[in-house]
Amino acid sequence: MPEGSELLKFAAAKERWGWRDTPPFRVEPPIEDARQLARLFTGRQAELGRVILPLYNGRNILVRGMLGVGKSAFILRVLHELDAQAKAARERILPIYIYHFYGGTTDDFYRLILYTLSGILADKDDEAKGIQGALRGLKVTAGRSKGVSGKVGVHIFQVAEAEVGVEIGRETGREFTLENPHYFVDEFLKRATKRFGRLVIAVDDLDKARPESVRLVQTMLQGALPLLRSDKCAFILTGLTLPLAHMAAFDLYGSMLGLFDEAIQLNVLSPDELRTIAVKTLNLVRRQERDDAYPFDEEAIAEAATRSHGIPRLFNVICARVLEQAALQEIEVIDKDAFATCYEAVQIGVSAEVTPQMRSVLTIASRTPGGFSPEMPDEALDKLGFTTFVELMPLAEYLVANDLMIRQEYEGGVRYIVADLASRAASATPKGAE
Amino acid sequence: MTEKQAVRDNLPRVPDTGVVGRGRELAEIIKALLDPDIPIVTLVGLAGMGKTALALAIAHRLREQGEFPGGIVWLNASIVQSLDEVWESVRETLDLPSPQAARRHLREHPTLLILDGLNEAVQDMEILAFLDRLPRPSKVLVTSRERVGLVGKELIVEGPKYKVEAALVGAVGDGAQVTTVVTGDRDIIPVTRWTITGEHARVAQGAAYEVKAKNYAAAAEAYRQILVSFDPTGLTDDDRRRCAEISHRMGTCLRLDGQWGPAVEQQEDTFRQFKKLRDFHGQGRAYLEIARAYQAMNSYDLAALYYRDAHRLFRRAGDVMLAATAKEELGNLEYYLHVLKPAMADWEEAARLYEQAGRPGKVAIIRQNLAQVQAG
Repeated sequence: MPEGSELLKFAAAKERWGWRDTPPFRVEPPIEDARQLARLFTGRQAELGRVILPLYNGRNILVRGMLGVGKSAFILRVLHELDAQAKAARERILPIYIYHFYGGTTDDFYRLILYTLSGILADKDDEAKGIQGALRGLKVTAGRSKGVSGKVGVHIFQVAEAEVGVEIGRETGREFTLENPHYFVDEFLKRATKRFGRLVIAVDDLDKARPESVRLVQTMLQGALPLLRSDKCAFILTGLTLPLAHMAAFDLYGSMLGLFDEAIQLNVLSPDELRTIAVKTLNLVRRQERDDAYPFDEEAIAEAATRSHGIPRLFNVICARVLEQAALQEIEVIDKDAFATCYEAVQIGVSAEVTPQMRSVLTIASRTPGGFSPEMPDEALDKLGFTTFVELMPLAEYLVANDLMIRQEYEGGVRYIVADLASRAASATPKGAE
Repeated sequence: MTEKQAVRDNLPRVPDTGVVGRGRELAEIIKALLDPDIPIVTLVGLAGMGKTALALAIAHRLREQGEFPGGIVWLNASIVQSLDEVWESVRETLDLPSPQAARRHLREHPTLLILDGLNEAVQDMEILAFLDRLPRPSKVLVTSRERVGLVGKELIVEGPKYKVEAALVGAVGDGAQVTTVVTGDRDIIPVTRWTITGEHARVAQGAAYEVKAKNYAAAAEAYRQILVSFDPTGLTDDDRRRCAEISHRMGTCLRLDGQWGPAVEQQEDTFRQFKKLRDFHGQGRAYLEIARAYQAMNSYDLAALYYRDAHRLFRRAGDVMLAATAKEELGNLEYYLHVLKPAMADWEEAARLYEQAGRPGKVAIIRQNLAQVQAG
């Protein structure tokens, strides 16, 4: 293939397929674009129905499920839905979405909430403004989403870094020493509810499924019990968690002193639902909407769904990459055979990106019956330099985060298998790595 | 009118190898149980001393002698979670129509309840209060790894297999061989010998006395003092082993003191130390402790993972007994969580391992648990 022709080929494919733009098959939900999210969101209607009223009434919800299953999209959707319903019902609700806060001490959690509250109050409240200044060290950026109706009030807070040990508000000469932020949180909660009505605070991705961070989160939340129990606001949190199969109600969070009134388990999507996501995503950029997944034919899109193990994140990765390949290979309709060709090229691409260390881990995983699991043989662990499954988990989670492995829940607990997308990378000879 | 009828019971049937050379103890315990002034007899002893086997032997003997015509009810404390379950077991064993009838029965017919394995995991005040108030003609025999402070008579069961000294006993001086056992702990490694010297020995002895007095926080602090006194540069392998052993004890004390988070961290550190020493047994002990701490924190999913790995490590270390313990505790946890299929599989495996380890009492108990679950 001559160099520099890729863009031309992709432009031609866009023309051929009737696209204004590249369809947004993304690994993360469109956090700041409520309209797009609302259009793409698929399924989960029963789950949505289960959470709106409890949140309105100040109860806490835990959303759990494996990486990429759509937890963030779900809670964002919940917030927007709450907002829309509240407007229609002339109720006052202020939904707040916090993400990229990876836990810390209980005080850190209070500071985060305090920062959030002072952020929404600062325009009319000098004390809040002062606290905002004092909390600058938290490296929080706040924004307001454009929203469905152009004035949706979902406040978005991104916490870039809030590690344990960040000392906030210790600067000398300041009026506030915020070593104990609890008082202010209480006070600002009162002010915020007075001004905005009910508060619904979503905190996304609290844990990264590593045993250590799970413990930190637990300690943190237990310390924050008075805040979480407060009837002034409802919390909705997401966490990966490591459940015993079918034991959602007894897992780490569910067992925490009735902290959460509902635990919503998000499971993998059906092939039909994934197909709908593809249709909706494509329609966002099509000059003329259609109700199929063209340029994928039905067999091809079903194949993409199968290969993604029902995980929307992986489905999006596969769709995006197969479409790129199809564009390069100047394919008009991606039928079953074309899909196979393109998908193989994608697998080769994935394989080429994998480091030798990762390749050997994947190889061991693919040769271990049942993948990495609590029952995996000692020899497989030995080869990896571990003596226990627990030790191996952070590495496995890293591979999951890189779409190379899948975490599955089964009767014995949790296990990791090689993602179909990475099956070529898991073959011993690095074919296509040249 | 019911004199000739067999005494109702749900006793595990044991092969007759459980109790050897316990004549004096048997007689003493039976005498206490038949003494009208003693409502509760508690057998206290470390894990592996044969408390369960002893209790079983007593129960079978009393049954044969026709004592306690009201019946003999065996309750496994590690899986009985509430007073309601106690009543249900009593009702079912004695074939009574209702819990109310069971209460009446205990008042009117001398019945023996045996609560096996009452320990810190069972802190249901309701159950303890129930035991204290049991109607007179009926009696309770309790086995426990630690003193539970019930009314009545408490008998210490000592091990027939090996002599276990309660916590760093004996002359501790320079270069002494020290035998340590942390009492109150649930997984006593039969005997661990290691040599400590000088100031270390003095502090370790202090720690051991604190453990004995159940001042776990003070004991942990003493162990911490020993750990920090080691110069991390130029440690010999022996030093490393000592540090790992002390770290393990410190972590166990932290857990027993209810400091679960710090206990987990300490045992994670212990695990790394034993890993450097390529000691599977030590790694397994650290993991078993982490599992228990997580269980205490209600982090059941994590506890289960660590129990599984602890089993793996003990299996590799060739310690059948502790491998069985890890499986049994995992099974108990799963049973508690009502995930019965895995619970039964793990109990099966635990029973098999206990059999291999020559612990028929344990095998019988687990088989009975299994039978109960299978019966519905």
